[in-house]
Amino acid sequence: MQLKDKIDFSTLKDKKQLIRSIVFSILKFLVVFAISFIAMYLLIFIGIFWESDFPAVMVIILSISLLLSLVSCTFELTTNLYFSDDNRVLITLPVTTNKIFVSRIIVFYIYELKKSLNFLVPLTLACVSILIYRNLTSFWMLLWVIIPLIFILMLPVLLGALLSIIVMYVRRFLQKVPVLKIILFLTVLTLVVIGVVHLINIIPIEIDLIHQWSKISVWIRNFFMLVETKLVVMRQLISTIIGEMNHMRRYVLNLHTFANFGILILVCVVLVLLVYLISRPIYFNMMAKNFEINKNITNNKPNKKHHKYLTFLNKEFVINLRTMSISVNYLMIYVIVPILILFLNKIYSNMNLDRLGKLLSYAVNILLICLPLLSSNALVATYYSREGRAGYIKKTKPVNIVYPLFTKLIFNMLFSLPTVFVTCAIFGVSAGFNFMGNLLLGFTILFIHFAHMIYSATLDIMNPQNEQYATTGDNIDNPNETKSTILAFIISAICALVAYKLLSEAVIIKDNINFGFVKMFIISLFFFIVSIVMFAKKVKAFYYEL
Amino acid sequence: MKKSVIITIFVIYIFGIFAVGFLGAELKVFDQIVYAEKIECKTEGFIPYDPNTEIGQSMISNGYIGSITKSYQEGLQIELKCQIVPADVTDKKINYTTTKTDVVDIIPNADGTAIIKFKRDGTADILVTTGDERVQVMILLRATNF
Repeated sequence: MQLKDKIDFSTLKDKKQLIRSIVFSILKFLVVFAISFIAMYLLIFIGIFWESDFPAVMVIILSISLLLSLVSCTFELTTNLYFSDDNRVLITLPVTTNKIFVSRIIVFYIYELKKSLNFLVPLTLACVSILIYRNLTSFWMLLWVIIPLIFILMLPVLLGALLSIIVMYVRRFLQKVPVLKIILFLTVLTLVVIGVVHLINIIPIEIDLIHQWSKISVWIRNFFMLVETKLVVMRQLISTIIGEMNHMRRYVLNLHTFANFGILILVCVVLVLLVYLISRPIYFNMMAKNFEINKNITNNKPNKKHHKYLTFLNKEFVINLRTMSISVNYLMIYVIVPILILFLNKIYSNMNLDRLGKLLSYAVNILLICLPLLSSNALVATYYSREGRAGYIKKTKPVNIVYPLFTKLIFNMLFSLPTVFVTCAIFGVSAGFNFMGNLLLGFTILFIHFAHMIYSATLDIMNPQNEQYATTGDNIDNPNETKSTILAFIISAICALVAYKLLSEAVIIKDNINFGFVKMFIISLFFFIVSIVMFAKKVKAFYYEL
Repeated sequence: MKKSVIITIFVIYIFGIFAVGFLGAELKVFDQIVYAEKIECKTEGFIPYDPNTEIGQSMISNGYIGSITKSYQEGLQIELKCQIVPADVTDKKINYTTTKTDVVDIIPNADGTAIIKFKRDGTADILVTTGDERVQVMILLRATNF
């Protein structure tokens, strides 16, 4: 039942849909696998790392992946175990209380396994395939790697279940003292800014990748050696996956591999016991508190009549500012994007670039401004569904439905305005654009951002997931989010290519880069208008005609 | 934002720096030749000779920089990874040769490393020479059969 809430099984009923979803999943897997394989092959081919550095590369990949999994598992488990609304329903079911807890963890683990098929599994298989291709291991290793991975993926879930206890107490404490939330956020922000300033200061004055390449490659190899020696635990996990190198320089499964595998299973068993003994009692304690001792907060303030239109704006601002997951997500993007661009341009400004280099740097800048901004719009693709069953009340509002739907986007639109213009100003000043160029570029990025945001919202309207949000509280397998993210990457890539083409023409033929910015501005404005029209038409069809 | 999205953006960011750095760098003409100063060995199990010991001193004076000892098994292979210092040397080529062709076979790689295949147990001196032939060092490889 819980798995059904988390993963969409509706395709199982329809044969055609089932085949389509299986084919799509296999294709997605193969694409990630192929890209990873080609990337690895090229990295070895151009000498970024040696074949013998492969375990170190895999250590880095696995460490980053497990670290990110641990962070996401900890926060998602905190919400799912201790703050989820369906706890109240689950506790009333005619099953033993242990089953509820164990099923919660198992569902989470299955979900983690499913998520690993998107990234970690194809990437690991690509690494092993490279070893096979280079005759450094046998073909059968491809079958073996899945077995340790199944156990390795248990680690972030089980550690996350334990860490979620601490996070839960911290979260409850922060809920009691909201000022601390702001202080904490400002502290993190300050640390990030200090870190970036420090990083900018250590950028070498002159960067010449071609002539300094030998030094860089030595540095990379030393870094790999350092990784292998310092991250001993991760190195042992990798030896469980690909085995050990024997005297004939082939990776084989030997006694050491199986001993490591045994230790891995033992660690998993110990963690399962710890989770069962420590997390389970706290889980039931929290469930009972949720259910029985919840305070009934009544608002004694008299109802105030607000303006028909302003009330929607007010509601959205209150929701966005009070929902930490939304406000923090946006604030991080609004802060990180200008920092990323500042750092990038600082590196570019220390390179001696020719005209091609400068044009390429403009395209890369536009790509890297658009990518995080547009990817953050994936959250917009969940806006209406997040309202759960309350979402349908919108139909009863005494205004045209487009208005309350559109006001949901105002918060993001308004707060992304300074980010876009500040980021473009950083880029523009580094590249030496004049005021008009900066302004046109700012509006171009802004319209692309808005257009994608509106399209993401349209996705959510056309394929609502309200029921899943109503049951689980936080649906993390939203197809609209995936579509929005894929589109964000496609649009960003197209923007970068178009920018390169138009700016090249403007610089080479017209000798004035502003000509290129004007064309980009017109295209983005057109894209924005089309997205608004589509949004209005689809809303009209969905809410009034169907 | 999803984990895979963050990682992909990070990879693209790094790729963007390298792509512009390589494709867009202004051409420079250098008339200065950087010569090799020394050769360093980065192979796993490589033990450099200690000049403070009598054996170490005598080996160093004979041109050796260190040794690698492995237990012999049929098909034993060692990947010799040597680097020239300074890293921006004009001629980056490294040559590996030996007189003990009855003990080892040398297969040079394009990236400056070499695979040493042992035919039998024994000792082999590997002469490592820079492309400009200004620096030559010896590495002693030993495959012992207990």
